[in-house]
Amino acid sequence: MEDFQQNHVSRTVWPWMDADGNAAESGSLPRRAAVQAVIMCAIASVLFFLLHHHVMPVIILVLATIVVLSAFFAPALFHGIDRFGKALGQVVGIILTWMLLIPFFYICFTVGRLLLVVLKVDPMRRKAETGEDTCWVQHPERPPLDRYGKRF
Amino acid sequence: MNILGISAYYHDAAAALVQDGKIVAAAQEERFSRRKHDPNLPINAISYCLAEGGVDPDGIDVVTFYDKPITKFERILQTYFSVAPKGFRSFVMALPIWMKEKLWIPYQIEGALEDHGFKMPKDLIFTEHHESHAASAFFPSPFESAAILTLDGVGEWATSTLGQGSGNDLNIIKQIRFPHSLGLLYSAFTYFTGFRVNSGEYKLMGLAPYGEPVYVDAIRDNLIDIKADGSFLLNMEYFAYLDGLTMTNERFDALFDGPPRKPETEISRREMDLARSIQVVTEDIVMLMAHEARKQTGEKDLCLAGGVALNCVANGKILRDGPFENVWIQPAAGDAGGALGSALFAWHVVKQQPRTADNKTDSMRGSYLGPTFSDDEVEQFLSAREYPARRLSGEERAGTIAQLLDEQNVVGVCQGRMEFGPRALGNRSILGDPRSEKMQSTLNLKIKHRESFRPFAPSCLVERAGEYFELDSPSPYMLLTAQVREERCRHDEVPDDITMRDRVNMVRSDLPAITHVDHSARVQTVDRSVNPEYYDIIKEFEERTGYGVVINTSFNVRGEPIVCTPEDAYACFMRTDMDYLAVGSFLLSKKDQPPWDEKKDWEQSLVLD
Repeated sequence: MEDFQQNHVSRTVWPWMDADGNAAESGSLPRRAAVQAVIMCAIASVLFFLLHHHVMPVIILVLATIVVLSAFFAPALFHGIDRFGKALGQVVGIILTWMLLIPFFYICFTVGRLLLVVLKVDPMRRKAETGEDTCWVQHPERPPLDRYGKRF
Repeated sequence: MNILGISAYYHDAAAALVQDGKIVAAAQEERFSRRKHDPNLPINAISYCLAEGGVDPDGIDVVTFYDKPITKFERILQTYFSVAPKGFRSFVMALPIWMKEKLWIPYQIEGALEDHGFKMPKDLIFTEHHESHAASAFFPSPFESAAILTLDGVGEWATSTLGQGSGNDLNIIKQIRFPHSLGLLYSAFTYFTGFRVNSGEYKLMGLAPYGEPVYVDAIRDNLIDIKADGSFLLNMEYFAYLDGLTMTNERFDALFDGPPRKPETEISRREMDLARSIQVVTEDIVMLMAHEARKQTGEKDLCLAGGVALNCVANGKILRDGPFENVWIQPAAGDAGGALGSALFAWHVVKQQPRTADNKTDSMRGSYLGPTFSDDEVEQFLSAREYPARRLSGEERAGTIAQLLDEQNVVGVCQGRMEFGPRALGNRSILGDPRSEKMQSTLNLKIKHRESFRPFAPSCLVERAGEYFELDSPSPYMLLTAQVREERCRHDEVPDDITMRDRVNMVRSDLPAITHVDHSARVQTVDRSVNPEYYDIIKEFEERTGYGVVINTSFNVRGEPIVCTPEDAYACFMRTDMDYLAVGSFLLSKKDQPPWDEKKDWEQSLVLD
């Protein structure tokens, strides 16, 4: 066992011998905490220096300190805060998404639809042209080869 | 030249590596992430392919992606323009994902490659979705030239295409455009009969022989206008996939006598009849398209790809009754195969590299394109985990497994390179005795944990196929159905009041476990030159029993991807009532294993399909 080494392919897809997996993860915690703390400090600075709030920046700085300390001394607490932060972010994201997309959808697409109805254009071509005996349509000719670098 | 092909962000993400035109590796992401139909950027599959090919960090020459994402996005926006003010719920679910991921694919790929120590090449190629399918069908095929049909749900705008391949060139001639889609029509019935869309279509196909085609006229009169050349127009008044989160609407419910079946509830006569009816309509359309392809191209051979090409009943019909002499179907016909197709398209068409074809053998290498694990490694793993196992010599291995099968044991086999595509072809398979009357229900309920009506497929020695099945040509990828030979069949009367389970258990031939209710079977023919280990097991089974056929079902349980590593195989073995596990040269008996204890309820983590 001591002499055995997984080959490169096997180690890539099945790293069962990698006993350091957890250690690697725990080593990354302080880094993640530091990034989060820097972001929180930046937000606190904006609130304090630009918007002249006093209580909220202090709360954020305390939270940033807890995040950093928990990453070193209480990983379970760090993971809990991390999970809470992600869940909160998701909820805020959903609310913002709906707030932004509702007016966008109904203004942009409904007006667009009305225009299409007036112009009698159906981009989906739901109905066949009168008298058509085929629904095959000609495929566009192959574009120049350099077009294959484009996403459209 | 190293070309890395990628398909992702819809379902069945995959990666493939083509080195100087040779297919070196290909795998679906789900096998590594253990999430069935995983759509995410296939970073594990990419890592595997690059490792398998021994690619240096700066050794990727070209990356290809299997569709044109901005054209697809344009189609989605046009769809909302055509249905607004309906469609908001679909829009609000789709748009954030597009904004976050799908519009930034080059950067996503670059980031993923750099995270894994690889340099993104300058050459990034986007092929059309159906070009990728067509390339995956034609370029690996044995044919020098052929007609090509691709059929699936939808790519950018095309839902079906008809084309022609010759040498290293490929041209799509005609297409049918969204929303008129044979794949989506079939998926609508998949949804309506209570199965999962993009996953349960093969169950609908398996259910079809239990029913009668009583809804064919209703489908033809109301849902679809089929032209003589196989093209068609769907009546969108019955479908909800343009503006809703479901496939069908209330008009569809009214046409077919009630609302959709709720998943996991009992399957009624209506669902069986619907399954049969849509299967008949699908076969009719595919057959008409095949005739049109022949007429348009004049070719004598046909290549097929796209999700609908996994409908092996329709494929079998084209082969038997269609206008082509030979039919070749890409084994990874669904979106996973697009990764391979886009890479091959880049090599042959964009880079204009030649292609050779001998009209006999394809270049898919049996579709064994995934990872393999050495006996040394398996031994180390088993030893480290203290799992008791017996090492079998090369001579005794096949004979021992054949003996266990003959003794009515169920044996899981994990050997050689993993298969690319949805079928297990003997290297990640569960094997059983096809002569057994009880084996189908045993395998379905105790081992696979899946619906009792679903049939099992046979693997058969290629030279013996004609003795068991009405099959003239090899079927190495299990993509064709054929009838069990008449002299082997029994035609006992089916009582009117029989339950589905009793009907499943009726003996229909001398190979009852693999004979479906319509006396068909989804055959895999096994050639020793392609997979000697698997061939030898079946050959030994034949020498013991006189039958050169075994049951072959994929090594997984319902909702789980097929196993990849020996560790996955061991977990699946211990979670089910499988009797033996053969991993490489090692044989493990369930009776000898330590108690299996899992902290989590593994069944809860699976999404049933």
